[in-house]
Parts: sequence; C-alpha cells; structure tokens
Amino acid sequence: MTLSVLVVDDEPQIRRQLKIALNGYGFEVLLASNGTEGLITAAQQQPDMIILDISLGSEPDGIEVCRRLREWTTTPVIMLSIHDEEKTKVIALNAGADDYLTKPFGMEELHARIQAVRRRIVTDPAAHTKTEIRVGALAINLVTRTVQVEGEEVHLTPKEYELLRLLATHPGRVMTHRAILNAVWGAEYAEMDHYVRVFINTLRKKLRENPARNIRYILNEPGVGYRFVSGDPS
Amino acid sequence: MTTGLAPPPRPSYDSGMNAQRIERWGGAVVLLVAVTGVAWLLRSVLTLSNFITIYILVVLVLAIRSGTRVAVMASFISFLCINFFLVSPYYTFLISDPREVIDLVVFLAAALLVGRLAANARYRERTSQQFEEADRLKTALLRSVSHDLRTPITIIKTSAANLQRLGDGLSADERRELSQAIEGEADQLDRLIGDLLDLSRLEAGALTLNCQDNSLEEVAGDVAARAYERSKQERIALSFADSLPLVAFDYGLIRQALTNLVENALRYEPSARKVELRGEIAGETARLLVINHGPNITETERVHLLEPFYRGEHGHIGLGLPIAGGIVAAHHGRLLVEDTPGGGATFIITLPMRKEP
Repeated sequence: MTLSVLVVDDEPQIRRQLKIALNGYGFEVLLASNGTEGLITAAQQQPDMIILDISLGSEPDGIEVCRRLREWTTTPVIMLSIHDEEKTKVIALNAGADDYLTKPFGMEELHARIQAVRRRIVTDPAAHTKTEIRVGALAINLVTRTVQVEGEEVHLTPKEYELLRLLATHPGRVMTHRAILNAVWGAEYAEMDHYVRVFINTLRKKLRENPARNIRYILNEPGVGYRFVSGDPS
Repeated sequence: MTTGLAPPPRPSYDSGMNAQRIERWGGAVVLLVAVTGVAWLLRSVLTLSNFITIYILVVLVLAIRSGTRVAVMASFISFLCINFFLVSPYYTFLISDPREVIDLVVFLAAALLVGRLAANARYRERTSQQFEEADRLKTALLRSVSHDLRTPITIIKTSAANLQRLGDGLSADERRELSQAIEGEADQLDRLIGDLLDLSRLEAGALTLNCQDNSLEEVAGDVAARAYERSKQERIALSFADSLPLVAFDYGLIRQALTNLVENALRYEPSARKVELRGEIAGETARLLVINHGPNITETERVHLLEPFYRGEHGHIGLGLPIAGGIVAAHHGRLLVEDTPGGGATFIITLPMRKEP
C-alpha cells in the first residue's frame, strides 16, 4: 500500500523539495499552498498523513488548521516550524499534532518521524495487545509488570513502573509533562512538573542508562516533556 | 586562580550593588564629618565665605564621585552643618546677622546646582565610554561575521554551479561529494545564524527564561549523549552524586551553554583522556564543572574568552563561549574559568539555588 502524504506549506520551493524527497521514499504526495486549500484537500483526498507548516503566512495558520482537522479526523499530523520555541511546540501538540520538526531539517529526519508516526498507528497500544517491549538491553513485560535490564530484574516502585509503562507504550512520541502527570499522578497534580523530573532521574539510574555512550531510553524534549526512544539505542 | 567572566553588557543586580551603595553614602558622611570637624576647630580664624567655598568644593567632589542624590544630600547637610556649628550663635539654627542668612541660602542653591551639573557631566562621560566600547565591539563582530557567513555561502554557490554546469560529466562520487558539501555548509550557516540571533537576543536582554526545577545530571547526560552521537566515541565522563537536588533553570538554554563549553573542552582534550562533567551544590550555589586536561589558558585568553569571534593562540573560538556566558548571566549565575590541577582549563557554570519559601 502506498502511503499518501499531504504537504501544506506556503513556500513553493519547500513544497517542491518535499515532493521530490517524499516521492523518492515511495510516498504519494499531495500539495496545498495555504490552510483553506489544505483543509479541502484533506477532506476530499483523505491522505494517510499530513505535514503542516505552522506559519502559513495567511489565515488560517497551521495551528488553526490542525485544530479544525482534529474536529473530524485522527489522521496523523506532523507540524513544521521555524521557531525553535518550546511554547509553539506545546501549542501544536495541544492542538492535536502528533509530532513536530524544526526547520531546517534533514529529509532523513523527516522520513524517520513519518515512519515512527506510522508505526504508532499500526501498533496503537489501545488497538493491539502487546505483552512485551524490548529496546536495547531493556525488556518490559506488561503482563507480569516486570522490568529487566541486561537480563537482570530491576525493582521499580508502582509509580516508577507506571511512568515507564506510559512512556514505553508510546515509543517515539512526545509526552508533555502535563500528559504524564495526568496519567500517572492524576489531574490534581497537573502543575507538579518536578515530580516527573525526580522520578525520571531515579528511573534512568535503575535502567542503567549511560549517556556517555548514548545508552538512553528516555529522551528529554526541553520545556515540552519526554520521548521514549523509538528504535534500538545505538 | 579564579577569574569572573560575567559579560559586561548589562548591569547585574547582585549583592555587590548594595555594598557599592553603602560605600557611596558612607563615604559622603565621613567626608562631611571630617570637613566639619576641621572647620569647627578653625571657626575663630576663618570667615563664613571661607566655609562656603570649602563646602562647595566638598559637594562638587561628591557629585563627581557619587552622583546626584548624594550631592543633594550633601548640600542640605552642609547647609545645616554651617548653620549649626560654624555660624554664631553656635549650636543653634539661629543666625544673628541677617546678611549671613542670604549667604547661606545662596550657598544652598549654588551647592544644589553645582551638584547637579557635576553629576550630569559624570553620567555623560560614562555613557560615552560605554558607547565607544560597544561600537568597537560591533565593528569587530561585523568584520568576523561577514567572513564566517561568506565562506559557507561561497562553497554552496560554487558547488551548486559545478553541479549545474558539469552535472552529467561528473562521476556519481563527485556529484555526491558536491551535494554533501552543500548540505554541510548549509548546516554550518544555520548554526551560525542561530548563534548570532541568540547572541543579539541575549545582549538586548530580550531572552525570556523558561525556568523550571531541572536536574543537573539530566542536562549533563543529554549533552554527553549528543557528543557521543556526533563522534561515536566516549570522550566524556560524568560524575554526579545521587542526591543532588533540582535546580531552577531554563533546560534548553543551559543545555546550549553546556554544549558550547563541552565542545570547546573536547577540542583541546588529549585523546587519551576524557572531559569530565561534574555537578555539585556548594551552599546556595549549584555548580556545573566542565574539566579539560589540555593546555592551560593564558592570561590574555582568559581576558578575551567571552568576546565574540575572539581568535586565541589555540585557534578560532567563535561565538560559543560568549553565548554560554550570556545565558549564564541571564540566570543571574556566573561563568568562571580555573586552571585544572595538572593542566587544562575548568569552566564552571554557577547557578543560584532558589531559596526555600
């Protein structure tokens, strides 16, 4: 099955380059140059994925387009932005975006994100039953609620396990601090960001992460939240 | 040896400010008491006009040294001192000769005016010095920037032109090499422009910090992992105690400052050793140490390290250190550089710990 991708960007050169690159990866590419056109194309052609620029130079802007899309579709949306601003990223995620990329980005990076988002649709934890997650030396058994590193069992407190389970069942996906607090601690803890940091710190030690060799399972997205690695950490 | 490397562009409002203020006002009071004491001893020899001349001089000195407010205070105190100690009847605010009343009122007006003028002159002189300094820096910056920007642009242009003109005649390897050069130089350009924007935002004080309670170890681990990712070599050793408390800082910005320091340290690290990243809490200050074991930093380098595009004896330093310094200063912290025992340079980011409510 060929994956169809809709690209919404007001820059003709960016549209062209994205089309060439995505065609090269074997995707079918649809193009739109502004928000309204993007919304219409999304409704008529029903693409499998949407790549949406945040600043479209005209109304509606990317964030607004994403909000309107979310009123009727769950098609994955990857936002593109030139602002490396944490607030914009959080706004985009809150508007329903699945991921974001900051311009300028490499085509391989975009391809990796598309594949990660695509894998998530296929292996949606709600839709599929998966009993074990393995990344590098880490193995999590979701049935027995046990965690092993390099074959040795690691003892986690219930909260630590919940936190790890939440992140690991959403590999490659940005989880905002708020979403983590909501899911693990409950809505009344929504402002207690430092809880997450303290628990992540302990968790990292217990999982024997070794940043000096880039052996990591949990990645920090500054000011936004955390992302569980999606592939095998090298 | 420790040298403070807080960059100069903006004044920092720390405890040094208070000490300075106490010194200014205290100095003024001491001077006035001393002059009044001497004048009191000579009160039978000198006349009112002598006293007035002496006190005008005192006000003038204080205005130049300490500014308008101190000068105004000194004018009033001088007025009262002359009236109380030096004009008969002594030790009262009464004045027997009405002409002396006129002298004293004129003295007060003159003192206030002189104080004001002198303080203005002092302010103008200071700002013009600052402007000159900023101007000099800007010229140097522009010259280096245009060089550092033009080099990648030139490479991009020539590579693209070669691809266009010779395209089909080139081997696949040559074509790949040219397009890789274009991509690499574009990345270089992007980094440089990002750095410049950061620096100008830092200098304009327009940077908004997103300070949250963060873990020093987390940010150091992040930096180390990225360094490993780039070189595929384990060149960094982390040493963090298990029980370090969280510290309030902007994660993204401190990560950038630390990355710049680590990149700089890696450049001079002997291949047999590792750059050490250490975190510690000392009293009310959190410290992040980047310890390098390469050559020592010379005195000249130490002074110029935080200047944009400074080219030291060991080559091009660029914008990394000035940006790190600016980021740390925006956190009300300091960037220090010390000699590593046994050789090398240790850069230290200090951050104030948030006081418990």
